[in-house]
Amino acid sequence: MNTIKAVAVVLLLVGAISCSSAPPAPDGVHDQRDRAADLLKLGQQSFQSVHYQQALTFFLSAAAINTAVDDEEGMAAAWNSAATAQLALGLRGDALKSLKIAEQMAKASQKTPLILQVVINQVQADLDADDPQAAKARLTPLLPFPNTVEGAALWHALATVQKALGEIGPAGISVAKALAFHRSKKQDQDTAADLFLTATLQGHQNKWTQAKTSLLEALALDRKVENTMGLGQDWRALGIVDDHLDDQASARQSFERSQRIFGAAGLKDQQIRSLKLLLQTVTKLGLKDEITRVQNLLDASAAAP
Amino acid sequence: MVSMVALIAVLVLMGANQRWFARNYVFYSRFSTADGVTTGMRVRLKGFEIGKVVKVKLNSYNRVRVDIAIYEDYYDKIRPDSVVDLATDPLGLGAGSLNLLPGLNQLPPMEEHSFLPSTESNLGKALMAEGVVDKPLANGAIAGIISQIEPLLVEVRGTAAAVTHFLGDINGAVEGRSKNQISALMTTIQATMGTIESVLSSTGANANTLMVSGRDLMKNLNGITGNIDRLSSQLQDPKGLIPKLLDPQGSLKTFLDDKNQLYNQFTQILAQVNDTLGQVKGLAQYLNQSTPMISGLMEDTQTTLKKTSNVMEGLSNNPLLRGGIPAAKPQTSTLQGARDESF
Repeated sequence: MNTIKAVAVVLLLVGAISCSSAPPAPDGVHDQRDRAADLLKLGQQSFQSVHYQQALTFFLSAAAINTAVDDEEGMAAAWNSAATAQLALGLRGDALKSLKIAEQMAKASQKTPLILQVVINQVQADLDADDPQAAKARLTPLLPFPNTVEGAALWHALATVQKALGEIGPAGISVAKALAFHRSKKQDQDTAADLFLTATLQGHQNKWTQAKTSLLEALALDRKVENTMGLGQDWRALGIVDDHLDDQASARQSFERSQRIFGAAGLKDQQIRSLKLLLQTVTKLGLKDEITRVQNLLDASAAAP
Repeated sequence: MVSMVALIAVLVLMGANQRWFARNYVFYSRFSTADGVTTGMRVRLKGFEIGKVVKVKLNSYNRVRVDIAIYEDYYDKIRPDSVVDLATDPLGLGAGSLNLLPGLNQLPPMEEHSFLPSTESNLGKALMAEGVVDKPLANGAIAGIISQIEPLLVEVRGTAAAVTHFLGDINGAVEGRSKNQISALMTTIQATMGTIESVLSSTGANANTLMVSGRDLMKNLNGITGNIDRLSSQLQDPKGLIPKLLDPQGSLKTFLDDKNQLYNQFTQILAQVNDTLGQVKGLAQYLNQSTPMISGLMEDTQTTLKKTSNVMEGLSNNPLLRGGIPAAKPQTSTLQGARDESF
């Protein structure tokens, strides 16, 4: 009994200390907002795994929760994210509507990073609609971009727009700024995207060996972050570069790996694109058995729902 | 100095509250089994806590000896012919208790360390049969009411089992591999989501079946909730169920004379059941709002994340760690666009 009393005294002292130094009560609850944040994170992971429909479901759920608790910042983030999934699914009309809401909410929140995040996706939508002039008009007033995550994304977006407009030199300068930021912050996936864009610009300048180096680095980073879509694109781009370097054997391997990745991810359209390039390569190589095999794969993919 | 005095005062008050300085009177009883009997279990008399079980031991005759400490204030209630009755909670909510049924006499209290027969013993049964024990008739009435609730509870448990089964696969995926790492949990959830999505997309019939199942579940739960609501309102109506069930010789008076202790306890249990049903109902409604299995997964995800969050909040609130209440989680946009492949 004495032991129990001694323990009780110690507990009492600890309790007294706790009461005197406990942190203040929270200013409000954020259960719903936390839940929306979790849904956004789940959506981003689904997006990363190229499960775009699933990602969209998560983003729309997050948007609904944020709307229910009247959280402007949350709504902007959720609708902006929904737009990326809708664009990936080819739902351009829905994406534009989502971006409209995201823009309104971002402006209402008066948070510059949020406003810029929406602009980044609006530029993506413009490019998706083959309207680089509109995208440039959207970006130019925002120059110079801030030295932030959003700023780096804007430099990348501007480089893409400049490339679409044939401004290869300025595009190289813009993407270099994005690349420097992403490298310094060790943001591997964004760095990989910058390197990929750099490689395509180098291709435009007939610097195929440099392009291959850039792509191999992008590939290593995409592997590191398990970026399925990026990996498939890296291998396909490597195949194209190998073809320009007249290395058909390597190109064949690259296209093969690309089509396998897209096939495993269930991205039929992308797989078909890689298979068509593979078919051209094996045809150049005169591999009759391979031509038959790849043609059969193409037919099967095209026939699949 | 002032702090020391305050500390001592607190200790004295705490000790008094915890009965450190009180005198207890120990009695003992015997039961055929220790099932439902635990050390620390409360001993009640008409709803009042009058003591506690201090020791449970298997004797040399393989009978269970239970030592009971009766608080000093209630010692005079332990009159000769008193028996103890083990009351397990038929609702399965909380621990049961030992009820003291005092002898119907005005004799001085029994000596400490005396034997109190249990109602399951021959001696206890004989005393009950002789009518020398103050056996509250209200208890019988409560048992009657409880017997009405029992079928409802069977239905509730059945429904709960159905819900559990419904969510079982997802629960396993979510709970089995979390290892306190959000990222690992997310990966698991994502894999499960992929599976569910492929199942749902592969056949619309599956989704329809699940929706129908969810609606049936809702209907069932609504029925149960309605039944319990009705029963609860009847209990609160002095002209309703209670007069019909209670003894006409004044048991209602007995029932209420203890400052509604028994009645309040009973309605509290009903409220708990209603709360539980409300939660299940809420879940079922959410299940119906979207694809049922995905909704189930979302609920589990939320629960698991909330548990993790609570643990982390508890840790950060620990004064030794000097943390604080966590801020709201940041909500970030997705900024991944398709890469332009044109060379």
